[in-house]
Amino acid sequence: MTDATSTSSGTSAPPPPSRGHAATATNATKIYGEGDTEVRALREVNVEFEAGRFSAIMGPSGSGKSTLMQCMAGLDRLTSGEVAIAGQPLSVLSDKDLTLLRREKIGFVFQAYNLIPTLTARENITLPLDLAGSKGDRDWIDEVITTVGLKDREHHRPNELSGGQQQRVAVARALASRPDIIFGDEPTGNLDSRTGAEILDFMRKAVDDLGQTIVMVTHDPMSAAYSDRVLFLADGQIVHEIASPSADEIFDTMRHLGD
Amino acid sequence: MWKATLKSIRGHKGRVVATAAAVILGISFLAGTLIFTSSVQRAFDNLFATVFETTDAQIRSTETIEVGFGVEVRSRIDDSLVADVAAVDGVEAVEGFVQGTATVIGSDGEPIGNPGQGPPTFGLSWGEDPELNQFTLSDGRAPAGPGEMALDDTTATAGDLSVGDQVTVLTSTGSNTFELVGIARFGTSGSLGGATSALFELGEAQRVLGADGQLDGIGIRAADGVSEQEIVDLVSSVLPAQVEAITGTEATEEAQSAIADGLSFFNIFLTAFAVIAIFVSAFVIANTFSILIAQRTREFALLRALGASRDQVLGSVFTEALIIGIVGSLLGVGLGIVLSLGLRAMLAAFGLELPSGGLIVWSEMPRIVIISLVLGTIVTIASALFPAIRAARIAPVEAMRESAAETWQRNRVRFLVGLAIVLIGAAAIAYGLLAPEIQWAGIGAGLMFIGVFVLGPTIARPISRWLGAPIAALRGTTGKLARDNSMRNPQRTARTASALTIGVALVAGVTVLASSLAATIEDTVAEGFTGDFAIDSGAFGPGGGFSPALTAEIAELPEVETATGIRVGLGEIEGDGDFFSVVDPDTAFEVFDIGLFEGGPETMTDDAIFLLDDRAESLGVELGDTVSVRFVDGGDRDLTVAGLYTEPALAGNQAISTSLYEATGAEQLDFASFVILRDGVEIEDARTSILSVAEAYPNAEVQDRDEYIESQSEGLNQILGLIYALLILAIVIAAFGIANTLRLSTIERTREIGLLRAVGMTRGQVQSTIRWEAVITALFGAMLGVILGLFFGYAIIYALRDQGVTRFDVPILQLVIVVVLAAIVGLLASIVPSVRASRLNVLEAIAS
Repeated sequence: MTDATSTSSGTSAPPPPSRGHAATATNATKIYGEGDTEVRALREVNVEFEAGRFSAIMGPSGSGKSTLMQCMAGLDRLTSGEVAIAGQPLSVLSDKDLTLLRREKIGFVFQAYNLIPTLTARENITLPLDLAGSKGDRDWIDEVITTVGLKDREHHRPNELSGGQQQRVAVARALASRPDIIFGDEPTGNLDSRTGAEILDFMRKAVDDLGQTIVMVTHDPMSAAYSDRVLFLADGQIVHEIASPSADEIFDTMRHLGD
Repeated sequence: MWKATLKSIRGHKGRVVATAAAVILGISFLAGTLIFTSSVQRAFDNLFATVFETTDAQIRSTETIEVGFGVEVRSRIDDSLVADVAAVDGVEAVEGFVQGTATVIGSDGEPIGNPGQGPPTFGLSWGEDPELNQFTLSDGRAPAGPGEMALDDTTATAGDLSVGDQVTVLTSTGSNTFELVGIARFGTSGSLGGATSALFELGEAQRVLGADGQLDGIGIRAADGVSEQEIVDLVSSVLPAQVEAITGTEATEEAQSAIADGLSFFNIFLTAFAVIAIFVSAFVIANTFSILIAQRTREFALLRALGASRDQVLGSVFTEALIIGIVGSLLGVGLGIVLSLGLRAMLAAFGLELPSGGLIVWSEMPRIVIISLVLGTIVTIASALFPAIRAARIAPVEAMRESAAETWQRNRVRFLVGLAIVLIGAAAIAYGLLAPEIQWAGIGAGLMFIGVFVLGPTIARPISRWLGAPIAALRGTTGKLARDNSMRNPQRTARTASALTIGVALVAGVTVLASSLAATIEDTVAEGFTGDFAIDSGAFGPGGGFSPALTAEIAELPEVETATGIRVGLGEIEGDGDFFSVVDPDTAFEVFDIGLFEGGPETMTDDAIFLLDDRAESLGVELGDTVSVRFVDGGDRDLTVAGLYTEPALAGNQAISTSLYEATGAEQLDFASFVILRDGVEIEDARTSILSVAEAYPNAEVQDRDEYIESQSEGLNQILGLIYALLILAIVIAAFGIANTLRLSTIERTREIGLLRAVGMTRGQVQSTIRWEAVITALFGAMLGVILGLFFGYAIIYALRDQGVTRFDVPILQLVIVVVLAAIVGLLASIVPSVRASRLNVLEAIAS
């Protein structure tokens, strides 16, 4: 066991052994069901996500991209293999320790239903910190709120915010505790293209200006083009990878993969 | 649509079980009460059916005094009649018998049975004719003369007494010791319906029971071929005035109906709690249905979009309610059987032992099942009425929208309607209590609950905010989320809390009432009782108390200035049976100040009566007028109103002198004696002397002034305990309601819980959130309940002000305990739903 669970904030932790990698997967295998109904969602996937970079995971439906993200984010457990966040292997953690790890080292942006309807925007943003009973870094939180342009809406409840604003609150929440890594599951899937672009711009900025690590699952090449690196999954395996991709390259690759 | 309904029931077993649980619990109490009382009634019926089986006719006095609820005394007849009757042609055998009160002391020195709280304690003569004697020996021999006795089997066992023992028996003639020579059974039963029976040879019985030369009745066996009616006709010709003969069949029927009368109060009492349980259930059922229908908005809208008519949707909900009602009621009857045993055990724990006629009286079951089924089904369908109408109004377009389960607008109309119902209810209570027509008070209370139910949602949000503030402040985010959740759907919070409101209101009302009554009694006794010691038998009414000999012995003690015994007499005043306080005018007024403002000790002669001022007013008589009074010896006495007083708590409606009551030939027992000490005597010295005398009377408890004053309200505590125990069921049903709502709410918030878990909420924190939400909901319900309870309590106290209830005492500590217990009920109700919610799979929750 490392000190991963007892550290109150990811930012103040001493550098983990593999500083270069915010998250790693080694021989990650996930099997659903048994016998005839057995589905191999992940087959011995090996991948590393470097700190301070924006990565995208793409692939057709059923390729295992969401499963990979969920297992790496500590929302689900692998059948075999290992996932580590900031050097901490997840398979050895209890449900409680895993929860605490999610709270401290991981941020989440989901496609929809990202916010608690009874809490204000600010309360939603500080929720992981509040759950930990920590005050967090006030200046940082104010900076994040200002950066996402919600300064004048921080005391509104989700039903008083537009879809784009709600998603910006979700991103701000993911940033608030300065996690080691943020996972996004189709974060712009429910938004119109202009609002979606706004969110992606903001995520890009978080990586470039704030040094945040982001891993995003998407099926949209335009979204993936915001990233530094795109991984392509098919049938539970990584089949291709592009660095600094353009939307056209991604389109081409996808068409290719379909062959 | 039928198919869809059935599928819907089968597909949502959890919610069906949840709704049915409320029906089952509500009906089980009703069924349990009916099963239990039918068993008790059957036990007595069987008993008396066998008792008079071999008796063809019975002779007795026509003179009786009845005061309701089966309390009756009958005059005695001269024992010379036996010879006259025996001489009549057609009479095969005759047997005179006497009965009276006798308290048997067990081997531990404690009296067996207390007629104040349970079956009577009889002293009886042993019948020589085996066919006229209902007792049969199971051990030893029959009591044959002075100093011998037999006992019924049950009493002998209870007192750990066996043949050969010396047994102390207390009767109106004093404390006597007998040799136990036989043990007997009553028909097929161990005892006479739970009563204790001390059996003596006839002459000894007459002596011991103060009935020299007298009999309570004569049993007759007719010769072969002479019918019951014929023998009655034959013997009637030799009977003097005021003596009658009845057939054995009539005697059986009378005994059975007297028991039925005695049990009727009891039935009404239990039925009231059954109605409360069903009423609370109705709230829980209505609430569960309305949440379910809100959650199924899309399902209904889809059905409508696919072509289902409004009537079909309505029919579908009603069918579901019908099925749940029928199944729940039947299961309720099943649980009722178990509950009837629980009732028996509970009443036994409160000192009310009742005989059993078997677990189930099968001939009564069809009636019980039908009542339960009809009532349970009607209540379920009626509770589903408004939710069903709402379901039918769902427009098909709702199918395309996000769930509208949690929309709520402040509603002025609702507020005004709710307020109006509360006020109408309050008015009905006022009318019901002042008229007095008690059913209106009950209806009024019901209306107030419904009014609060309607009103609740409009006040739930601010009150939850307020109640939740300390929790939010102390418990951090989980506390805040709990408070927000309790505020987000105030309608649901209010409805969920309403079932608890009813239970808490009744508990709080009864608590306030009891506390006020206790305070009033203690005040009254403290003011009125001027003595130093009281010797209390704990019994009140005919058939309880100790021999006046005890009072006489105490009066002889050197430490004692005055000792006076108080008895309870039965008589009819202007045709109405009632209790009479029987006092010794020479001494009683020294010990008690009953607020006498006309007359004095010297005016209480043997043809005088003292009346309570209100009683005199209602009789329309004044000082110096005469009233017609009849006692057990028959014949009207014109008594002069020679005194008026103001304290009903001390002297009841009317008081007469001991010497007058002794002249009526009624059994003479002091239910208590009161003592004033000579000047300068130490309390503890006096206590020792009094105790040494009272030792021979184990049913007499010696108390000093303070102990006595305090003990006067103890009887209330016992009744209070029984009422609390019966109200627990209402609280349990309310807890099910809270658990139901939480369960349905957490299902609705599955995704939200999933999100919270994903961003770092631990299982413990999920549970804590739901737990505190339950506590806030329960506190909301308890708070309204306490307010209503205070109102109910005050209304009843106000209505009783003419009966001398002067204090309105609010027991803050008890009410705080009630509220805390309600919060604990909420906590317990949250266990299952919160554990279930915390175990949700995070991924599935988010994906749902």
